[in-house]
Amino acid sequence: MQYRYDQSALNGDYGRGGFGLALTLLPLILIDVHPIVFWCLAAAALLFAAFLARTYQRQQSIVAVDDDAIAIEAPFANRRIAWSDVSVLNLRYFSTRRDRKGGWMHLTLKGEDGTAMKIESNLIGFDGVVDRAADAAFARRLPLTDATMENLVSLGVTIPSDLGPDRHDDRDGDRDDD
Amino acid sequence: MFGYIVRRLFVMIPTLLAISAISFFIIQLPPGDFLTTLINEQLSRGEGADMGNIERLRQLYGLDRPLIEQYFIWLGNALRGDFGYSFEYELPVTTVVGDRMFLTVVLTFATTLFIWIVAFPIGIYAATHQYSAGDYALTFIGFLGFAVPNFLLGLVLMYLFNVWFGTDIGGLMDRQYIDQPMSWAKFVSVLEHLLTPVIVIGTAGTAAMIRRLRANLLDELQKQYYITALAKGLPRRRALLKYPLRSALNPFIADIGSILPDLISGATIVSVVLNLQTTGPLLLSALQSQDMFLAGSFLLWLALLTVIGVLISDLLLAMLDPRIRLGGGAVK
Repeated sequence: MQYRYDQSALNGDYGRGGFGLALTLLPLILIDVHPIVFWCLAAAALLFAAFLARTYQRQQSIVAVDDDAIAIEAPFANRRIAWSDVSVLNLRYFSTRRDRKGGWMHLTLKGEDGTAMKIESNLIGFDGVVDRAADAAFARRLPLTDATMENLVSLGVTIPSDLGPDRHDDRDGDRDDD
Repeated sequence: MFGYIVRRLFVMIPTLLAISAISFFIIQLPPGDFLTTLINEQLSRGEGADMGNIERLRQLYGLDRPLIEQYFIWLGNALRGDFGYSFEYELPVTTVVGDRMFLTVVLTFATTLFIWIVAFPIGIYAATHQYSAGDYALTFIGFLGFAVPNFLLGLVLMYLFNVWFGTDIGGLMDRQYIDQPMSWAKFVSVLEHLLTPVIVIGTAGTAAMIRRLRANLLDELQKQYYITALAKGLPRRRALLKYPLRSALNPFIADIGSILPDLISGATIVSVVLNLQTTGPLLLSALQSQDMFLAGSFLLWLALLTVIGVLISDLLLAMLDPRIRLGGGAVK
């Protein structure tokens, strides 16, 4: 199975990145700003530019899932992790709203060789990818954080009963480091 | 996390612009402007108003232009680091604020540190020794901290510190250092005078933090995972510090959002009572006298620091607690 990111979600990201870049770059070009303001705006402009580049990379990305592995084909970021090599699974939830609604999820997978891949929930078919990744993590009895387990449950994944609170000792080991 | 940071920044920019515009227009709401007030004051004193000079000032600061134009002139100048001219002090705003901002930062930092250092161990003790004599005693002290008005506590402490230690009444430094450049002796004098305001301002905050930490920690201590961890033989101290305490830390992190704006407006009444050379009384006086550039600058900084503070606490909270709230309508 091959999956791509939702174009309408990517358009939203292009809009945010472009508007943010314009709002931070224009004062730098038009006004002789104070040095502190200059560095703040320049840093924000760099972030928005990087966000635009990442959105383009996502637009070109194809996530391929089969029985043996998951792979991402993207400019400068071709990655492949065999299900039998998955060593970390992290599923996090982010929202910019105060009530934490309307957010998005972020799946991080790492392989035994250190290969890491990050997939956002605006990938069409994200649930299926998470389901397959969770199966691999359960099969390998990987330690999962409380947050990851709760987020998996919210996506309808059933957590095996033996992956309970006694796994907490290891939960620092799989913290997302992005 | 990167995507989250960028999206939060994106939300922050229009928020900041909107708040700055609202701040500026609120300042303009009272009838007339500072120059009108100046004319009225001169006339009430029986002095003739120098209308030529008044008109010159009005044109110089664009007070005769449309409001929207005044706003963009003000915002553009602010980006250049020019926050305008204080009509009341007859000095640039940055000069008027000058030293007071540094003193306010020192005071706010010291108060926050005091609150955390005192509230943290007491909150943990009260939660882990629920309904013990110590818990009752600390809860009583906490309620006292809530109930006693800050300015009253300030007056009492000023008197006691003067009688016991001979400390000057009020102020954040000995009189000879006021308006002097920063020096080691001045810094030491500031530190000596910090104790009273830190205790006065920090008491209510400490009491509130103890209550919240105790309540949050009690919730966590009754959860299944903590009981299971203890049943499986994990040492009590390690189990406490590693899991429940981490979850109970959220209110501390969320409070960062309100610490930064306190740099400007925090404890204004206490600062007036204790005669502290911080920015709070300056903000109050600027609002009273309709010193528009000074007041507008303060409101802009307040908005900026609030938005930055909320951004920092949101980022930390997103790192600490990246869980979906079930039924929250997440994008799947």
